[in-house]
Amino acid sequence: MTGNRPQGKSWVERWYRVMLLGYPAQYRERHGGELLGTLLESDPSRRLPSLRESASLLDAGMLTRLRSRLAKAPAWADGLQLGLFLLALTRAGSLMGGLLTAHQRPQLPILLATLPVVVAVLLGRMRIAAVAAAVAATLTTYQALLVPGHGTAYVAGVFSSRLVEVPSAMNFWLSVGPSQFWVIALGSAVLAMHGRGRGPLPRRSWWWLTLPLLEAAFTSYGWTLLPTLGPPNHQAPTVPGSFVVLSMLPLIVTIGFLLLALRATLATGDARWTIATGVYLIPVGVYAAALVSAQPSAIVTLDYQLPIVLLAATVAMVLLRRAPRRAAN
Amino acid sequence: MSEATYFILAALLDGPLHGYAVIKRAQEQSGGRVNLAVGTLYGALDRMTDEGLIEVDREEVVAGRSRRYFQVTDSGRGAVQEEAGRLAAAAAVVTERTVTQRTVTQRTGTPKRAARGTRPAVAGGGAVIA
Repeated sequence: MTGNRPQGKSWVERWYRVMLLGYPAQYRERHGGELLGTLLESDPSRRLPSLRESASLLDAGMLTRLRSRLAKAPAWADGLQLGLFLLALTRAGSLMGGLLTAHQRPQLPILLATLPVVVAVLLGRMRIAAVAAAVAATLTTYQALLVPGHGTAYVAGVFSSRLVEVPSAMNFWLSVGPSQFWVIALGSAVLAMHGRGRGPLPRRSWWWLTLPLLEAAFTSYGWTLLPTLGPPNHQAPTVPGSFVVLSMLPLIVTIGFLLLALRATLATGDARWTIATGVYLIPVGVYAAALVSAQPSAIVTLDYQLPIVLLAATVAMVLLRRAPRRAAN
Repeated sequence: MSEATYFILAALLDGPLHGYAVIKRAQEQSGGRVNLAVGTLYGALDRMTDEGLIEVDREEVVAGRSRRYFQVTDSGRGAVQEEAGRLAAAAAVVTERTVTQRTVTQRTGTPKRAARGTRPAVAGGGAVIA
């Protein structure tokens, strides 16, 4: 696959072959052997693979893969679709995790409405996604506004295990679930209108579906992998000291996404990955803004959201200053 | 232009080289400061090929593996020369000042404080020109 010398492969060579999997298959087919040859030639007596070379291969592989996607759709449309897809995936994962805990039966209709959204966005069928997301948004809005006590339970929400008492009129804005679905519905409608006559957007890999499965597994244990809405009446479990990192996962994963998006945008001069991250963070931003405006003293509960929103704003400013210059080169 | 791009182009000025030779040449010419990782090198070579700064001269098979030789294009040669001129001009801002200061010090026998910013420092009735 990545060369034509099948026999006598050393452990170092095998390791570098694995690192080369980050590159697109077509690139590996053409140049994988050449890269391997250079790696082995640069230090023939090496017994253990170089950490620096391995990190460089992963980074360069990711950038090559991202560059190979550039021409397929306009940056804003591709970025918007990816952001909506991430929202749908995390929502689906959270709902599945809630169902696994056995006492989340009211979430079943919403989950059933969410799955078509995930598949439609994955396939680039944005008109279907817009309709399905509007149905799911209506269902979650009904729950947040009209089911007694439900909205307040939602406020326990995204990352914080602390309940915040707020006026019921604010329940909608403090319910990340409905705002996520409305963002998906609105964004899908925009893409459907843009794509009329241009055909569907590029379809995403089915491998993305591992993300909601992971999220579901984490949610069923009471943790979240990504910054999404916790199930109603959710109380984050007390974690022993050595597992405290699990409770920080939403923050770590989101900041990881942000930094990757920033790296990709600065390296390619194309903003689609940062647009995707921005879209993904809209509901969290709305949540933070609504909570602070409703109850300024509650700002201390933004233990996860605040750094994410601030970091996102910083990233946006950096990109506004640097991306146009790189794109012009 | 990044330092890596500059030294890759500089390495190719004397003729076509393959990837590993570019790494070695860039390392030598930068006094060991630029030590390109293989992933970084080929990422830069691909990008520079897309931008028309370099091109593939020929491809050989060595020990069962293909190996591309890259050469600098006219556009790449112009770009690296322009960058070298810019760097030389930037270096001159400092080196000329250092030489002037050294001359003043030798004449008066006492070291003078360096001028801050762009304001000329007055020393003994004369001026140390920035």
